[in-house]
Amino acid sequence: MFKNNEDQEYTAYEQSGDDTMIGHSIKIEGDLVSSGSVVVEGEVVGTVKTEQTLKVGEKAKISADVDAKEARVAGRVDGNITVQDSLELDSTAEVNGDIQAGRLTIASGAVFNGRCSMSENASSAGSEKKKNERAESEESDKDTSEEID
Amino acid sequence: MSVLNPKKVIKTRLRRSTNFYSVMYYYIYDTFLNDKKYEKVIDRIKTRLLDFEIQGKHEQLTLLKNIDELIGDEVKKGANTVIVVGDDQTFLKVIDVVADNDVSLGIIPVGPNNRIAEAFGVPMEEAACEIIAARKIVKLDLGLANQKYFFTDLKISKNLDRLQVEKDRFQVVPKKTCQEVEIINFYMPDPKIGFEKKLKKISAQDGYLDMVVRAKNNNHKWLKKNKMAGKIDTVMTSDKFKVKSFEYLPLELDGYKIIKTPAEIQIKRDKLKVIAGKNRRKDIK
Repeated sequence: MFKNNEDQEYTAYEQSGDDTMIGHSIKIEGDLVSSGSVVVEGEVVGTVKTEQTLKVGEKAKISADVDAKEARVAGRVDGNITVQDSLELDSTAEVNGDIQAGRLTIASGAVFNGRCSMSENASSAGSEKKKNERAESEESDKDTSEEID
Repeated sequence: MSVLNPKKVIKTRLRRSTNFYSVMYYYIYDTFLNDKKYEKVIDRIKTRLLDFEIQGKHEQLTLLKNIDELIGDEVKKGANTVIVVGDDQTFLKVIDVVADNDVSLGIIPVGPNNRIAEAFGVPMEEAACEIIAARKIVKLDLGLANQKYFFTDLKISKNLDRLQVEKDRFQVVPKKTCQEVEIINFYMPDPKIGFEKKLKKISAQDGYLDMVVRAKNNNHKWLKKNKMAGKIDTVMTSDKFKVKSFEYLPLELDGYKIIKTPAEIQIKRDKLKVIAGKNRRKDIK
């Protein structure tokens, strides 16, 4: 019976999921850098950087600057948060620091003390798009004027 | 007793005949097999090995014989495949010498504690001979801690509050709620607990070690007597860890080897070549 269960688990073996999980029973001191997703339920002092998703649990306490692709915060973060895509602050979240994010969601009840700016990449990407559109329209105008001549 | 398949035997013999001079087997029988109750089983295994024509030198271990020296001597004489007849402990005992000498390792499981053989898809007793004859070899990583190899895990369960684990540019400091720190290469589920989903990613073929921290189970105080494993609290992956402490602390490798802190733990890729069967665990490729 046990063997069957084990086989089923390994058949369902998947590469996706959380790569690093930090629980209540340890404290991390230093620079935590990961290429996979990170879940923090414990305490981190230093910096946290991930190329994937960061989840900060309700009881977690991070005294560090945070850099991630996506993040969801339900605990306490004392430091600046930089997120490329979306940042979600749950109702239990407490952030003391500046936020820079592409998209930001703050739930009712969340505490946020700091400045907030939307990601430069996102804004610059938007302005570039507009510039391209303008350039295209100008070119088409030129073409039509040349044809008229 | 399983029935011999003549087609398979011919196929195996043909394969074996081409490798006759290149494959030299060395069979080691664990000390507990001296017991009379295993006599018949050993006879059946030897007969089966004759059937498959994969005979070699047979050695019975005693308390006075050093297993590392025995294997080392035979490797010098040309043996390139070591087959241990015994259980998980027998298998784990030869890891160091087999890894250092770059020889293949097989197991013929006899006795009650044979979870490793089961993971490799090797059936019990004489039925294992067919797998040995087929010689399907899988390469696996080994952990190395202070020049000692380990196959399954390294455990630290005493004085954890005085411990410090370093990884890359940060250090892990266990709190009082921490019950045990394990650095796992090959995950062997505890039969009492069963398979733990959080550890399903652990593989001995990915080039990484996984550090697992277990927290104390405060909710089930009545279970303390049973020494139940704590719940999984932290999982971290790396190819190198450093374990430090203010005083010497024991680290347990594979459940029987003890080393002391400080220790540098790293992964050695494809260091172990093991003969495995078709029905091996799905994470062993």
